[in-house]
Amino acid sequence: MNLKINGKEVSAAAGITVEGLLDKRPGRGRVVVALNRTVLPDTLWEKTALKEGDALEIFTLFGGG
Amino acid sequence: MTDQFKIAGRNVKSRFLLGTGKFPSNAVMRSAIVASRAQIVTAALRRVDLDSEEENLLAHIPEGTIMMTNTSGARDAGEAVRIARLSRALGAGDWIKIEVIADNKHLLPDNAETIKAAAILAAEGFIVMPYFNPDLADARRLRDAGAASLMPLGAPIGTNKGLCTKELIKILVAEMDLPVIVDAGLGRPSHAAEAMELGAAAVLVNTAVASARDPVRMAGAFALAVEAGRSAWLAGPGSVSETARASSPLTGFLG
Repeated sequence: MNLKINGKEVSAAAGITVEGLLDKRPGRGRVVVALNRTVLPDTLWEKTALKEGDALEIFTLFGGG
Repeated sequence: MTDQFKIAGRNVKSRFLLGTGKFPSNAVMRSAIVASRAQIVTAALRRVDLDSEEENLLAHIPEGTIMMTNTSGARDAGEAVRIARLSRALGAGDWIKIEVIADNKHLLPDNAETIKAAAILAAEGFIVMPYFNPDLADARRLRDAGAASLMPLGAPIGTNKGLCTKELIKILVAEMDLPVIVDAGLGRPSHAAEAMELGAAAVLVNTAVASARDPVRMAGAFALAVEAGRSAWLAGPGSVSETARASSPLTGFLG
């Protein structure tokens, strides 16, 4: 299954949830996720299975002025 | 005499706001925040790759600090609003520094888009802190849009040039009831002191601290300068004279 993560094409296991995808992160910082441009609350990460062509964006806080 | 600093009805402990960008390490950044005694610090929202070992900025922010996310990267009001909403969903709170920049050379803010974003975000309950070109008509528009403060630039971002917009900032201080927080371009503690002597409510500094040889010591130096400048403003500086005026009596010593 192909997904777009932060604008890049990525292949992932069919039916993987947002939680499952985020679990693969090496870093454990707090993030916010937008699925197809809409904010997805973290309470829904476990229940939300991704579909072919879904666009996921993952953001966190960085240093800035 | 008490000198409380309030933004949107909230007491803020320090008139020195610090940015978190460009520090040599998170440990130095944390020490600089402590040395600055800043209560409000800014951060930016950025995409993280799943394969990157992204640093957790919040883990390095001292407890009791108010995070204010900026909307850097936004080129119009819509993008600024989106960043603000994402920041809130992240749990970074309601303080938002609106920064809309369409000009990548000079990094000057787009006041018209900033005003649009301010109106939308204020209506959504954000504490709206707009970074803008110091223009009085736009300051009034920002106030009417629901801004909690006004954050005029002193000089272009990251230039360390100081208070290039001094005369315009004086006008904002004189005419506007909102706190005026000089943001961007202040390069030395003397610049910060000067802004405070002019009646700015606070200053926001990042590059000048983060790029100093010793950022922690520089953070402390800015904190002292902000306090000194504020005290000077409250004390009311004497007037300037074109000709000499003796500060000692000129008669009565030798008769």
